[in-house]
Amino acid sequence: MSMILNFFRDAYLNIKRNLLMSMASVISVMAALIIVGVIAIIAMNVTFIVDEVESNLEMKIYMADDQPEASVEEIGSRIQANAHVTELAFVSKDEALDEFASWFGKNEQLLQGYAEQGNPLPSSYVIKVDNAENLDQIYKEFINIEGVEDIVYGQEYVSALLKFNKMINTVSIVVVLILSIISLFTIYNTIKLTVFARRGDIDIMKYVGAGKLYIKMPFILEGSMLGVLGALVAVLLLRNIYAMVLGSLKLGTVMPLSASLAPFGLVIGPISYWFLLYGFIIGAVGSLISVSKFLRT
Amino acid sequence: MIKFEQVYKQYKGNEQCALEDINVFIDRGEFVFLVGPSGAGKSTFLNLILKDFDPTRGTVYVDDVDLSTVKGNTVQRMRRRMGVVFQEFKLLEGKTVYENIGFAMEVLRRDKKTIQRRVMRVLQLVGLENAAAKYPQELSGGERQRVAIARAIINGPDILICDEPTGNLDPRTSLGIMKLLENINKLGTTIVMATHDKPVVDAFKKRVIILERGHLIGDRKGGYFY
Repeated sequence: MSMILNFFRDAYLNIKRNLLMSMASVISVMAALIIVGVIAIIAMNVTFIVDEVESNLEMKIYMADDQPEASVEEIGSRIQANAHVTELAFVSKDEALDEFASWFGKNEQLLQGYAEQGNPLPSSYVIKVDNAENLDQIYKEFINIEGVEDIVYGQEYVSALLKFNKMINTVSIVVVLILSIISLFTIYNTIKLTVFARRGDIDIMKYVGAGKLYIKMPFILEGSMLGVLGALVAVLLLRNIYAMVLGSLKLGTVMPLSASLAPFGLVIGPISYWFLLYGFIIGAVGSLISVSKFLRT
Repeated sequence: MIKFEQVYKQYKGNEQCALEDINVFIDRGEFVFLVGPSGAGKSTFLNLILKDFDPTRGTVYVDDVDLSTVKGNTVQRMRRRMGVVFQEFKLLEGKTVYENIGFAMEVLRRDKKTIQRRVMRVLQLVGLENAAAKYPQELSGGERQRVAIARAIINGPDILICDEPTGNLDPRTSLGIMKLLENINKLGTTIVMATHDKPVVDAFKKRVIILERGHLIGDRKGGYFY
C-alpha cells in the first residue's frame, strides 16, 4: 500500500519538478482534444438535425376515389401490418377538405363551390416510419395495390438527405480519426521529451537495480495524470463554449434556434467520457513506450 | 570474479570494433584502473560488466555466470550486487542527500528503520554525517561525489564500477575520493575504475589495464600510467 502511495507521491513530485515539460504535455493533449472536440460537436449536431428531420418525415398514401369503405380499411390494416410503420392516421375526404379549408382562414367561402359540387379531395393514410431509408421500400410495396391512387413522400428530398447524412457521418469519422492519430503522435512526442529530460533518473534507478515495473510505474502514473488533466481542461472549455453557443441562440428569437441543435447533455456527456478515457490511455501508453525505450536492458 | 573471454564489441553502423579480442580476469577484492585515451573502449568495457548490452562475440562472466544468459528480472538482481559511480555524479536534484542514498535501498523495498541505520552508517564512512538534510546543489563537487559513492555502496555491492569518478574534481578533492575508494576496497569490494587521471593512477600503484582503440595493450600489477 505504501509503495502505491509512494508511486503517486513520486509522480506528483515529478510533475512539480518538471513543471514546464508537464505543462507542455497538458497543453498538447488539451489543444489536440479541443480540435477533435469541435469537429465532433459539429458532426454530432449535423447527425442530430438530420435524425430529427428523418424522424418527422411523413408519407401520404392516397386512396382512389371510388373505393368502397371495406377496401380502404383493408389497405389500412395492410399498412399497419408493415413492421417499419410507426404511426398511422386516416384522413377522410371530409377531413382533407376541412384541413384544406383551414389553410384559407377567413377566405374559406372560396371553397363553397367545391362543397356543393362534391368533394374532389381523396382520402389518405398518413404514416411515419422508423427509418427514412425504408420509405422507398414501403412505396414500392403499396404503389401497385388496387385502390391506391398515389403515394407522396418527397423522394428526391429524402434521398438527398440520406446521402448528405451518410457523407457527413463518413467525413466526420475520418476527420476525427485522422486528428486523433495526429494528436496521438504529438502527445506521445511531448511525453517522450518529458521522459528524455529525465533519462538521468532512469539511469540511476536502472543501476541501483530497481525492477522495471518500479521504474515505469511513476512515469505511467505521471503520464496518465497529465493526459487526464489535459483532457479535463479541454472538456471544461468545450462545455463552456457549447453552453455559450446554445445560450446565444436562445436569445432574441421567437422560435429558439437552439431547439434544433443537439441538447447539451447528449453532446457533452459522451465527449467528457471519451476524452477523459483517451487522455488517460494516451498519457499512460505514451509514457510506457517512452520509458521502455530507455530500459531495453 | 569478472572474466572477459575473447570479447568483441562492435556498435551498429561502426566499422571499427569498440573492443577487440579482450581477455581479462579480475579477481575478487582487486582494485583495477582502466586507462586509455578517449574512444579506447573504457566505457564499453564497463557497460559490458553492467550488462547494458551484450558483446558482439565472446563471453563476459561475473562469478562464473555468462552475462548473455542473464535475462529479465535477473538482470536487475545482478545489478544490485554492483554499485556504479559516474563522473557527473547523477544525483536526483529534488531529493536530499539522505533521500538520494536511501533511494537505492527503497527500490529494494527495505524497511525504513534499516534504511535509516544504513544511510547514517554509510554517510559516516564517506565523511558527510552532517549533510543528510542538504540538497545536492548545496554541496561541493567532492561532496556530491561522496554522496554518489555512498549511494553506490549502500547495498553492500561485491563490485564497484567507477567511470571517471575524479574527472570533475580538483587534485586535492580527487585524492580524498581515491582514499575513500581505497578504504571501500579494503572492506572487500572489487573496484574497476576507468580514468584519465594520471596523478591518481601514479599515486595509488594498483593494477592498470591499458586500452587503445579497442585493444588491450597493457596489463600490469602496480603499474603506472603509460
